[in-house]
Amino acid sequence: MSASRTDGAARVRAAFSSATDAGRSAFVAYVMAGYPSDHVGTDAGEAALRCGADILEVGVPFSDPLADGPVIAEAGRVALSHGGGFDSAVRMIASLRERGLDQPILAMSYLNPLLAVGADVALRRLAGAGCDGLILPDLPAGEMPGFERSAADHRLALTFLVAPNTAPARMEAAINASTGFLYVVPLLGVTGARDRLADGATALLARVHEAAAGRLPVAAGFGISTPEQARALAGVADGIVVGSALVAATGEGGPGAVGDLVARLSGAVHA
Amino acid sequence: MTILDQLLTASRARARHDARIVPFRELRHEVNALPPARRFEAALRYGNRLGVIAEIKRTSPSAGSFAAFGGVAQLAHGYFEAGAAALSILTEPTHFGGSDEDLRAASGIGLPVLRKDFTTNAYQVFQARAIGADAVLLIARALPGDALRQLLEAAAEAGLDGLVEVHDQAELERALEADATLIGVNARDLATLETDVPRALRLVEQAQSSGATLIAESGLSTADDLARAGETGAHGVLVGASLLASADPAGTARRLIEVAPRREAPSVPEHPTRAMVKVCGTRTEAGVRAAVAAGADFVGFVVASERRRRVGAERVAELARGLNGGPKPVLVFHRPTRDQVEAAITESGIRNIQLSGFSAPPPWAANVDHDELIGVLHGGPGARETLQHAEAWYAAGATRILLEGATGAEGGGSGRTPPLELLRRLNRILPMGLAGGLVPANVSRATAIARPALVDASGGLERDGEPDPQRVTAFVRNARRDPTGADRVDARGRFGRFGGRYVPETLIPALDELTDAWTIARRDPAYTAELSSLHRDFIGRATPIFEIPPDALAERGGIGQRVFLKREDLAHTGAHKINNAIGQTLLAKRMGKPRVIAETGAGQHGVATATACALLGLECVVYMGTTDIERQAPNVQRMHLLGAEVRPVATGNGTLRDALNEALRDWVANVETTFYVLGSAAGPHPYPDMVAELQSVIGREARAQMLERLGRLPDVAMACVGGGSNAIGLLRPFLDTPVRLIGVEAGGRGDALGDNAASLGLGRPGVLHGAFTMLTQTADGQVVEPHSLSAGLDYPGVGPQLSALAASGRLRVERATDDEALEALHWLSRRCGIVPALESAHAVAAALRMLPSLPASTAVLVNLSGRGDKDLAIVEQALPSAVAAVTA
Repeated sequence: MSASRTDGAARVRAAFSSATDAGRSAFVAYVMAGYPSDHVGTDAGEAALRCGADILEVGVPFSDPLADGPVIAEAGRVALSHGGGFDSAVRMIASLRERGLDQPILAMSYLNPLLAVGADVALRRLAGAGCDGLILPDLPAGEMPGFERSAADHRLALTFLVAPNTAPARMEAAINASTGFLYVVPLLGVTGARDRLADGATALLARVHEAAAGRLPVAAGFGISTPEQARALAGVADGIVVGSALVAATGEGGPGAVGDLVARLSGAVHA
Repeated sequence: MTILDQLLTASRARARHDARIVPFRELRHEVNALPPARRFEAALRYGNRLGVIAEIKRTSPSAGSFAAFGGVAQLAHGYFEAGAAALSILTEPTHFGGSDEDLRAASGIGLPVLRKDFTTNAYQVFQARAIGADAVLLIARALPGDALRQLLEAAAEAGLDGLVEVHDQAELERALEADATLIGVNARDLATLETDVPRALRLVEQAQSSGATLIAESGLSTADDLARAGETGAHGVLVGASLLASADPAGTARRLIEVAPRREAPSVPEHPTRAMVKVCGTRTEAGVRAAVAAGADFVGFVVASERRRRVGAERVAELARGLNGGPKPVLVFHRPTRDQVEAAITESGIRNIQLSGFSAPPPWAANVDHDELIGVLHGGPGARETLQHAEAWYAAGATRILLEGATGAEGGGSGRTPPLELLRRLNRILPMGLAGGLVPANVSRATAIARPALVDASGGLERDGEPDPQRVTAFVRNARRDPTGADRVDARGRFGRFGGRYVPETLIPALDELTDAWTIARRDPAYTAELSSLHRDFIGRATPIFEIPPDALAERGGIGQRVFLKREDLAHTGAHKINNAIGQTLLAKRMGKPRVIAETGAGQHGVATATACALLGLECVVYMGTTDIERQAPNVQRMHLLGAEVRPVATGNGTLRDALNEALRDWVANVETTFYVLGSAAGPHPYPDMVAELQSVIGREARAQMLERLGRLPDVAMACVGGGSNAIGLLRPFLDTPVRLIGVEAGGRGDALGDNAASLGLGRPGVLHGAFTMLTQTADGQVVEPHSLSAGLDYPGVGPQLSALAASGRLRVERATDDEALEALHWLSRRCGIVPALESAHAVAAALRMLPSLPASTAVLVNLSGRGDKDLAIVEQALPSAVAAVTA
């Protein structure tokens, strides 16, 4: 229990509403912990937060990332090859807090690294490091109710995903179970850059907004890599998530490149 | 407020908090799915010396903080080595510095563990079981009124022993009134923390005649203390502070245990590893046949009385011949004389007897020359008396006991069920069976509550006064329902605690659609008829059973044991995989999905899917790791020839698991047009259940074929396990029988992580490819690439149902190494003219290895899941050194 901590869900929502109040969408940046090294990964996270990200997602490396495309899968493999994993992600979050960064930070993790530590222990450690919540691509809402309650007990926000083929009842379940924001995947497929936005992305976001009815912010992610794509969706989403493009930038140009790209992307959604 | 009051207040607050996170309903569900707890009370009651319960606590209000010990698990292990009978772990956090984690750490050692805490409600009792405790402390003073009895009942329901702690005469009487069987007398007054050992031992002595199992707690630290405790009739002592205050707690424990006084304990048999089923009152050949086919353990014939369901001894002998060495025949008597029993044994030649109608075992029972002696006793009035009755029967030579609800005057078969909760409690202490009032419709529920060692029915199996074969079949099947749920999938797609759907949300609609389509198709005569005609005409089913010649087995130490191979290698495309591929592609066609994808390891599933798609006119894409493409080249060529596209997967190690990841990614992206034919009984629900059902044709055929061949079921059925589809396919139809089920995993090069593919035997539970199941993984949850020479077994997970069956104890798990499999492949090829797949050779190797240790009359059924043509290149290269290694 961490009763003295601020509620992660409230902090995440506050980040969205201050963006909304400023007349823009929130920008959510994803970086992989331990990629290409612990130090550079942490610097990349710092760069993202200093250059315009409203929220940071920290990827937890996993051996079998079945929701991820080649870029993030490869980054995870590199991170694992030098001992990365749940521990390195916790360390990264803690050191970002030590560096004085105060924006919401979410861990994006597959279930197994958390279950291996013990779900409750894992959640306690994340909360202790200063993490505000989690996104779990392989945990559908309602599949593990104990985990959802345990996250709430540790004051961690949970974000579930919905896809273009999600039925209304499932959408409602994801909205109810999400306490931070709702993550809309506008395409059928895994993470990674696409040449163009999925057909129907705008219509899907409108449909999700209607279902959410203001109960929580709605952000779009997967397949968004350019400022143009981000801008195109900014009008219909409360937030835009970019992952693979930033991970690629980390590998190619380091934290500096991440900062530049975040500045351009967040500028696009701020416009 | 006394310290006790403070502790209880804090305890209630903890329970309220925990119940918000895991509600009682869910906790209870979780506990019901757990395998049986270790036997705490029995370890003390039947030990041949005064048992020492060694305690671990970090601090205590009376003694202060204890010097740091090297970790709970390490100290628990030290106590185990020192000879402790059981462990007691303080989990109370506010005054004792304990935690549930401490108990979890101690639970893995192998000794029964008591959760010592200030338990105030049923929630905490179930919680104790959930964190790995085997017994729970119930403090009489903390549980006023009826609360004590209620928590004892909760403990029984959770499958735990309840240790009722008392301090004075009044509390002792309350414990006895609450029907406690296990009572601890604490020399320390919890209100004042003062200790008075002589007074406590006087109370123990006084309680001796009650028949309870008695523990002396607190203040005992020397050989003299233990001797005095022994003299008062205590079965055990609980020692904590005096061990923990010493520099070397485990060493101190060892020196104390060495001087613990010896005692004469009643002798009771071991608990059977699973519940036995007895069918009673059989009078006809049809009844005997039904009992044999259903897999009863015992068939009872009522003789020598004026009761119904009676047959003469000669007729019994005639009927018993139809058992063919399967179920054991039992002569059932009601209040017979010794002469009647001995005459019936002589006339029938049957040496198993059951005696009912006696309030105590007749004095001559021990002198009758018999094998099995089943004693029927009638419960009451309380738990301790019933326990003592049962011990008297075991002392008189009984091998098993049935508890019946009837009174002694009425005798057996009165149709009354004994109190099931009482039976559950007593069966944790000594093996006890359930009889009376059982029918096919109520036996599952009764066994789920009582968890008996033996179940018996007679009247409930009749229709119009005659035993009814259909009711016999249903009774045996229902009696064997696995109380942990491992034998069936539930509404949430789980087998016990394993299974589920841990996939991206995008796949949920597809899995829902698939579940609906499968649920309808499996009951649709059009689908099942098409499937069975393809089984016959396209696959070549039924595949035969081949018996390895006895002279060949003699070379491997056989002295009459028989080994039968289920020849799935003769199925079209050379392996069992086609059974599933045909079933799923038929379903794809039904659902109007034009495109089929599949993953493959050894290539057998890829070939099978390509074959089925060629037949049904579907587009087929097969994902295959680059490493596998290299080592299974002939299968790649076959897939091309069949018109399938083989997509190489170079990520990871280029093996099955990488192919599966890639296939799932494809499915996420193309879910609306694509049907994913998953090759193993793994992955998200409904795949594990659907694939198992489609493969169960193997076991259904084998069960009928063995019954026809032997006139009975085999004793053992075994199969190799990678993902486990051939294993679950063979074994599922035997789940409701007494047949011993064995899964053989790839032992590879050895037991180190990464040297084998033994997820059941050496792995830990986790989530991979959509299911909660056993995995080969690192301590921080990264899945480790397994090793096996056979491409079809090197999968890091396993189907969730096999995980559940292994956890419940229904499935025994063995390993065969690369070398053993190669040697078995070589031997079977040379000696029998059958070249098995390397995968199947693992099962053959384990069968040959265990052969000399099996009784001569044993019949073993092995699934020969595929043929070895695909493995020739590997075999040629690796065989010489393997044969040398195994035969050396």
